This record gives sequence, C-alpha cells and structure tokens, in this order.
Amino acid sequence: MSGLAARLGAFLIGLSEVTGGLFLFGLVVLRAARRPRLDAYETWRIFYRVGVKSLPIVATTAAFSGAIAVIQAGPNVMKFRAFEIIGWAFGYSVFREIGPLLIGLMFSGRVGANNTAELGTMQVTEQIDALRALAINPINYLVLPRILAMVVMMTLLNVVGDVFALAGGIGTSWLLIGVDPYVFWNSFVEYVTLTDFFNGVCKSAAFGGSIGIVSCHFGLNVKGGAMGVGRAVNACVVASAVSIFVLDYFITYLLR
Amino acid sequence: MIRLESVNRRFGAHPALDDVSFEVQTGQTLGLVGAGGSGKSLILKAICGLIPVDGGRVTVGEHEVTALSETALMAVRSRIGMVFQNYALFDFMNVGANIGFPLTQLGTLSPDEVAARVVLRLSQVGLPGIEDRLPGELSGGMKKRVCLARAMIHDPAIMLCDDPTAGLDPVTTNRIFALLKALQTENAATAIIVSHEVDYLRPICDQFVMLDQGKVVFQGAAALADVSDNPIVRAFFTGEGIS
Repeated sequence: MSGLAARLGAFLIGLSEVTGGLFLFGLVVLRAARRPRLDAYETWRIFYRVGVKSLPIVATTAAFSGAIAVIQAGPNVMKFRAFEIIGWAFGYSVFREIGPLLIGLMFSGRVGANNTAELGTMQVTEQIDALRALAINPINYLVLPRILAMVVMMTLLNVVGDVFALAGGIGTSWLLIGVDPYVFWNSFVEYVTLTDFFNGVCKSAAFGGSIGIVSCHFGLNVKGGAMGVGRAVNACVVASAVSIFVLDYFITYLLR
Repeated sequence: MIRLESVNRRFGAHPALDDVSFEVQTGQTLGLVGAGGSGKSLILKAICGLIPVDGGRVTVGEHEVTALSETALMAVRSRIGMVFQNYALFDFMNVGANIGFPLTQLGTLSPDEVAARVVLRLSQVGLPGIEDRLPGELSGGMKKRVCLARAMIHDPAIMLCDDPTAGLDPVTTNRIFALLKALQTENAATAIIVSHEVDYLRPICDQFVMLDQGKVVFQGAAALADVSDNPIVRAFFTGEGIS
C-alpha cells in the first residue's frame, strides 16, 4: 500500500514538475515575444522546414481523413437516402474536429519530435551554451521563430488540409457511394458555415502553439547525452498529444 | 581582470567547486590544469555566466557576473571569446556562417566586411577556402581551429579556451597553442586556457592554477609548481612519481 502511495506521489510530483516547467517556459517565451528580435535567415529556415516540408504528409493525412469520414457516414446516408446532408456531415466533422486533430497529431509527430531532437542535440553538444557565450539569447534566436512558425504553419496547413480533405471526401462519396460531386458540393456550401471553418482554424493555431512550447521546452531541458535526447523526444510526443486533446476539449467547449 | 572569490558549486552532495579563489590580471594568460572532473570547465562556464554558482563571487572587469541577470550578462559575454571542449559549432550552418555568426548578430559590419574577416581568420588558423563546408565534414583538429576562429572573430578582450587540443596530434596541438598565443598577443587579451598539456602551456602562460577535486591546490608560475611541496602538483607538472 505504501509502495502504491509512493508511486502515486512520485507520479504527481513528476506531473507537477512538467506542467509547472511548461507554464514557466510559456511565460519566458511571452516575455521575449514582447520585444521579438528574430533572425531573418533562421526564421525563414524554420518556416520552410516546418511548413513546406510538412505539406505532403498533411495533404495525405487530410485527404484520407476526408475519405474516412465519408466511408463512416456512407452506410447511414445510403440507408436513409440522405444524400443532401453528406456534404454537411463531412464538413462539420472534418473542418471542426477530425482535420485539426489528426493534422495536429501528425504535426506533433513530425515537427514537434524533430524540433525536440534538434534542440536537445544542440543542448548536449554545447551549441546552446555557445549561443549564450556569443551573447545571443537562445529564446529569441531559436525558440521564438520555431513557435511562431508552428502557429502560422499549422494554421495554414490546416487550411490546405481542409481543401485536400474536401477533395478526398468528394472523390470517395462519388466512387464508393455514388453521390454526385455536385450534390456533395451543394450540401457542403449550403450547410457548412464559416464558423465551422474558423473553429478548426482556431484549434490549429492553438495546437501549433502548444506543440511549439512543449517541443522547445523538452528540447532545451535535455540532460544526459543521446539517451536524454531520446527520452525528451518521447516525452514531447506524449505531452504534445495530451496538450492537443486537452486544448481541443476546452476550445470545443468555448466555441460550442 | 578576472577574479573568483570563494566560488562553490555542488551537484547533489558532490562539491564540484569548493571554495575556489584566484585572479587573472588584464593581458595575462592563465593555464588552468588538473585531472579530468576536477572542475576546470565549470570555472570557465561560471566566468561566462553560463552556470549559476551556489556561493562566492565571479568578477569580470567591473562586472560581478554572479549578480547579473541573463540580459545584463549579454554585455559581459560580448567581450568574451570561448572555445568549447566539444567544438559546439552550429551544425546547420557552414563554416563561414559559423565563424561570422557573432559579427552578423552584432550587425555592426556589412556582409562584405564580415566575409573579409572570416577569410582572414580562416587563413590565420591555417584553413583557407573552407567557408562553404559543413562542420560535419571536418576532422577534429579542423573543428577546433574553426571554433577558435569563431571565438576570436570579434577580437574579444577575454579568451576562455576549454581544452582546445583534446585528442589532437602533437603537430596540430603545437599549431593551436601557437595560434592562441598569437591571437592573445594581437588583442592584448586576458586568457584562461584549460588543458592537460602542461609542457605546451609553459611557454605561453604567465601563471598556473591547478585544481584537484574542485579545490585550488596550486597557484603560481610553472617553476614553482615543479618544486611544490604537494606531490600531486609536482607529479602533474613534472611527471615525477608516475610509474
């Protein structure tokens, strides 16, 4: 019994350390963001890597998530002959929920993990210390461009992803259920509102920010060489996924 | 001038630096020696304000480093050139960008002027024409010299060199120490060089500090170390008593 209590206590202390560390790191970033001094080349490099390089995986994820939404809705649409609502069912679920959530998880796996590994390696090879020794603030030089890129690019990728999801949804409903693309499109533009679209955009921006803060925090706090980098990447992926679901819950509640 | 007064630093129960005090006058070169794990690298990082200390004071010029915020430390660090033990070259930049980085960030020189300074420093370290290569394509000795060129690109008033010849062959070691002396003389810089290579340090250092398990066990000229009463110091400087 005492062993269980000790393990529970250790878990709660660890959880408090992580959440407290993330909160304090967020405050440091916000403070630095009041007077941002971004390096143009580094910012451009990060934007390109975070955004352009993520495009193929995001497009693939979005197209298939659109197709899957239609496949899931298909039997009921056929059963009730409710072809006129398939576009709405697709748009409502994909734009509001499935799209941002799946793209966010893919983004955290690709960009967040990569970011933690890169910063963690810089930490263990003294590159972060070298930056500080050269009188350069790592928060300004490394962290701010990354978080900014993740917020902006995650939002833009979500918009691009919506287009690919729509294409996937229309194609699948036509080929598998036999719904005319014109009927699908009409249903989509008739019932899906801008609110549904902006709901997803808000979530994407928030997910991008949380992935940025989580991945930079774990990267900059790596200890213990290559094993430490591995542990940090693992912790980043788990914490990013948890933060995405927690944020999703609160944003869905607030924007309901 | 660099001064350390009763500096302490612990890792858990282990005292990594134990009441360390010494000073280096402006324009002097200090050799910081001692066995691995004796706290030499920690001292350099404490001087640069890269690690906090648990007690004591570190003063660089008129600034008390241990009392400054991270923002205020930037002014002190801009006068320091630091060579890291593990190179610490930015692997996402080529050699030219790495060396010119401090000047690019300062923004006081045009890109052409920065490029000219990079070419000059690279030729001084004996590596002309490698601006476009990546750090990953260089040997250990080349990385050390690139690191040295980067640390000295902005003509720092203080040079902190952490084991600049670790793992290098005698020829490259000789070349790097000669280069360090030349750069120190050129800028009339205050220098602290951490190394195990006592014989190479003798001609270029004005005085030595030796650490043993985080404590200063010797401070003075090499000639005094050779006849020290402390057998550890004598053994380190002369090899006496080593079988």
